[in-house]
Amino acid sequence: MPAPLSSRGWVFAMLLSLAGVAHAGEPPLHERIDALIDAAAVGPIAPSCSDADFIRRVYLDLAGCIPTIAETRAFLADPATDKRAKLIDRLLASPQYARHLSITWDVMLIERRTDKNSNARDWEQYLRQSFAANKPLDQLCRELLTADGSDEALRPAARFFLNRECEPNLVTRDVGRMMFGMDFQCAQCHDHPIVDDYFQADYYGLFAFVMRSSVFADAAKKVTLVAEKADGEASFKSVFTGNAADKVVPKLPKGATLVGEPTFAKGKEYEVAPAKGVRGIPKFSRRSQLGGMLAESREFRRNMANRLWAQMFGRGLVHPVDFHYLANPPSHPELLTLLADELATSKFDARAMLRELALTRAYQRTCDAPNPADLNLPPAAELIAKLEARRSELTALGDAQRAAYDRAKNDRKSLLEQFDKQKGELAKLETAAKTANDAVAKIETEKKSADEALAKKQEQATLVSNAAVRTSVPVKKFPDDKVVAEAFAKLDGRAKALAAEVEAETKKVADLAAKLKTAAEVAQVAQQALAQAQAAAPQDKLVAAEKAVLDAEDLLADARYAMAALDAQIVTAQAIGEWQAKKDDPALAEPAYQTLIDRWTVAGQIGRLRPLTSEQFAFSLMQASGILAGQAATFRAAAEKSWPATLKDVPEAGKPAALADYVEQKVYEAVRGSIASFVSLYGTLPGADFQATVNQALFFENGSVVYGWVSPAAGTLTERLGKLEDHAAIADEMYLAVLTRQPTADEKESVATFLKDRTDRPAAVAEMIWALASSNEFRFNH
Amino acid sequence: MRCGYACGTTEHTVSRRSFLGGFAVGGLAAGLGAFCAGTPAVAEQLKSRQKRVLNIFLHGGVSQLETWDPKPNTDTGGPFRPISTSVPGVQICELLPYTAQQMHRLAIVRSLNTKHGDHGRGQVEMTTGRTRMPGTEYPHLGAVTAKALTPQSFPLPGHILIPAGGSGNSTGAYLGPKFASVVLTDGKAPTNSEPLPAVSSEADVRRNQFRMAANDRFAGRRRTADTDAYTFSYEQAVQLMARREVFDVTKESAADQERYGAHEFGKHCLLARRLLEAGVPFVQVNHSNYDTHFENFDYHIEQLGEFDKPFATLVADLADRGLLEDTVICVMSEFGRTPKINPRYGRDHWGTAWSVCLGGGGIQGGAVIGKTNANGTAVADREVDHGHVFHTLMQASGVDSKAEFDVGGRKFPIGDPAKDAIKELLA
Repeated sequence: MPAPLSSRGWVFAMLLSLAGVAHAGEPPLHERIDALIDAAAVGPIAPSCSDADFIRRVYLDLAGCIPTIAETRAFLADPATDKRAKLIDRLLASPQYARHLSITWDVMLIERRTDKNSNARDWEQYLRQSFAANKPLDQLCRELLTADGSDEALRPAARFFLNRECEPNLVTRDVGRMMFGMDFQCAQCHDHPIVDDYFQADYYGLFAFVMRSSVFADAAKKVTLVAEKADGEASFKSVFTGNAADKVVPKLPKGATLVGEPTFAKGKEYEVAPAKGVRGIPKFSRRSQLGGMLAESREFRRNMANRLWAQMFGRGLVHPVDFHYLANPPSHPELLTLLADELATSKFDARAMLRELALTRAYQRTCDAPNPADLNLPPAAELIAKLEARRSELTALGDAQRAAYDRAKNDRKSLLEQFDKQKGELAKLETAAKTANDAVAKIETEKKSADEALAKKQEQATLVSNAAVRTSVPVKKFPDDKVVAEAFAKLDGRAKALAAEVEAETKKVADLAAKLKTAAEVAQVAQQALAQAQAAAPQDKLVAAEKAVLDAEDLLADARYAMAALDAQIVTAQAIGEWQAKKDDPALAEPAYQTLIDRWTVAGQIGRLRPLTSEQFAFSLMQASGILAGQAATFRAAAEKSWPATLKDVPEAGKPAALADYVEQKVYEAVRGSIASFVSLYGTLPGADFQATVNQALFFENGSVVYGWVSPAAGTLTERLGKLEDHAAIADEMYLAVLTRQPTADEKESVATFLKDRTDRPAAVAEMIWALASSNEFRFNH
Repeated sequence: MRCGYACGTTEHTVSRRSFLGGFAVGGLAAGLGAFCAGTPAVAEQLKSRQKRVLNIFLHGGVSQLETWDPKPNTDTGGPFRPISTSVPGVQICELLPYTAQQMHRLAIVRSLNTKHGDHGRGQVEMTTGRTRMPGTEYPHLGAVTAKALTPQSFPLPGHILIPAGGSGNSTGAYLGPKFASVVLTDGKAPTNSEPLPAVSSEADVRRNQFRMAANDRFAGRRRTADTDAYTFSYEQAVQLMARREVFDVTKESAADQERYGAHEFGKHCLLARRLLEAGVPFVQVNHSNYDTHFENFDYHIEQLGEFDKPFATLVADLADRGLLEDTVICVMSEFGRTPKINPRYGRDHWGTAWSVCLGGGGIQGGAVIGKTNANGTAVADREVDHGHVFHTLMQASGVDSKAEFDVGGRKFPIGDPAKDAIKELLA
């Protein structure tokens, strides 16, 4: 069996060659991405978008907001041929990038739940700093899964668990979705009814990692932390089939099993044993193990790559992003595999990956629907024949992968049988070792209390004996004093009795010491026997066999996905045929053409039109109306006048960046409330269908927030334009500020018409700005 | 979902979004599928047969013994007598004399066993028809109704609560904010439906025309179902503003206001009638508070005294106006109350054997389903729970609750797939 990565590389190379792509040298990632998309294209590939579309799109996707009018002007006027790449780099280094990513990830991870058990502001800062520092994504996710809050620096990361109150089913569902891209919810009670590769065992394999964790409120320190138990096993019974498992070994979804979980003697499982008011810390934390296994998981890598893709393209290669499974193939399987592998190679560098994605021609494509008249498509039959020619090769590849998978499964099965035979023996030895360990612990406890009793007894005996000796002095001197004589006799008698008791206790201690030595020897022998048996057991071989099965499964999945992608291409070719057949009847041709446009969009051949998120929408409205720039200028001027104390130690060279960062935070604080009012109405979850509600439109029509931005208040765009005389200048400024582009001649004329005979120019300008801000062109990223 | 490209007619929009888009293909053959041809004639028929749901939620847990399932002369029966109703042989508690006269239009299910006695849980389970499970969230009955029954061109909200009631009541869950509840408080129209004083109606017309011109230009570049939906939301807002009198109960006649009563619940029932008449697919009236751990009997005299007349008046009015056959009614609580009377003359939480009242739409008037034992301590026949009630309500309003919603490429069974409607209740 070759190593998995190289074998995947081989399949990749083969798929590339099947797709007609030469794999020469190592061109930059964005070129390899484009090569794969172009090779898979059936039909037209849309041209690059305009500079105006590009600057708006890339600002929204990397900085979460449209550009200022000044930025737009400068970019449009820049004659440099590499200005797009330069802009991408500038945005990736901006504080707005960190803010946008932190908002995107907050929404993804917490899904707009209400605050619970952790501080929202700390969490926001934690995410912002993580993205500003370009923390590797695997590290970030590991922190989310393992932070218990005891380390103050990572306390905010515990929000992932704490906000869900550590409820194991909720955590299992969301770890499955967010870390591995798989929603197992329906597999909680039975194998998934729709997805035939999501099993109840997968659900509980993941559940077993997180079920021992719980919320712990530290009353003294007034913090809420995550506690973990050292025991507790997952078990399930299907409500449909009655199939059951009563002790589920922790296992990653479609991934590796947790091996080598140690067993501890009773009472020795904890670093800190849980008690009332005491947070339990086990010696072996299953949650930490989950975090540690992340980066090695193929599903994790694919999920992360797919989510970054979705951030830039508005839809995952796998869609929905938390529904990776066999019957829901990626639109471009080889591409997803490439991105996942590259992400791992780059040590989960989000910024580098987003940069490459933004550089692709696919990302920079126009979203304008191609004009049917411009298309010069060959007859569908020709396209289909060409595609069908590849089927036999893919079938052969699929068959080969199926055979390899079956072999790997059989190898593992026979190993398991062998293991089963040895398991009984091993279990006996485990029990023996545990009994011996427990015996040692028991004697240790006994000896400890005997030692304490002896010491106490010795002290008592010495003191009483001393008292007896002292009392003997008056007895000798006044032999007739009966009271004293009696007292002496009593003390003397007691001293002798105590001496005897000390002797007995001493002997008991000695006996226990001897017993302990024997027990320890027995325990050591038992432990050695167990270790020997474990070494002889094929644990390592089993791990290797499981890995081989998983790798073969991945390759088989890749082959199936490749076939599904071919089928999808053929469907597109057929759709071309349907449209060609209906071309002469506009009523029939239009829906057929719309189907094609949808398919070409999914295939990355045309840019996607996608709604702004609630945060992008609010930020962009404030940008268009000049609110953000005004705020930033105020904070910047104040900071330059009186340098903020928090930035005192920043070296000279770092000052511009530090100031930009400072100003971004101040502005965000100032507009936080306005953004929240948009989130409550427009906020949706990632991947949710677009919904335009009447409540939103009423808010936009009659709400005071939007009115405040478009009214001719001081510092707004409306105020500024209301003072201009020239209609063309007003049109220019207005379209550049709101729609990030120059107006067309036709639009300039409409503006002039609108302003003609209006004596209330600021109000007229406000009406037009409101209209552009409520238009589709503003509401969507294009 | 795709848009009709150059086809923007109303009929087209209706068929595109409200029905076909809402259901998984193939799930609907027996349900609303027949309406989906998209011709003007069908759209007209659809409008006239628009189904609605009225849910009355009695918060705190109304006593089944003091309402729908009296147990006179038993250790658990309490002091009240049963009375005859408009349905021969069916008796209910004497605290509901007006409702008794409407029983031929209503039905009783006396065999609910929802197993739990927790307010939050009971409320969620009764209003979603699903057994609550950690990590899952299901849409409210109102959201499901709004999703299934609101025509695309309908300008008013599809899911209205009067007034707010309890927690988790506004959730659209996976159906999204479009179907979350709109709450009407103090009889006022929804938030932001009044124009700003600074924006004259002429200015509003002008700016909306400028917006539409901009949208038309952009449609030349790209037009999708999403851009259509966004454009339409503004048209809807304008229409809603024009019709905001729908929310103003004072526009009803003085005589009607008198018939429904001056108290809140009376006004809310009258407002519900107004909204249902205007075609709102789902209205829930909340009435508090029935959590009678102390002095159960006194409190029920008081609360049901308020409930009985407006509710009965509403049922009768809907029938008189020809709306009842298209309006499914339910009176529910989070649970019932213990047969055992506690030392404080109270009754406690009880999910083991209790009742709901249904009616209208496709519900068989006068029916009584299931029964409890002699003193009401257990279900004796035809045990059902929240899941069955949910399916029944949906199927009685013409929704195939065994079908699935298709949301974002994912399929969600509308009702609990393990359950179904109480078929013998469906007319």
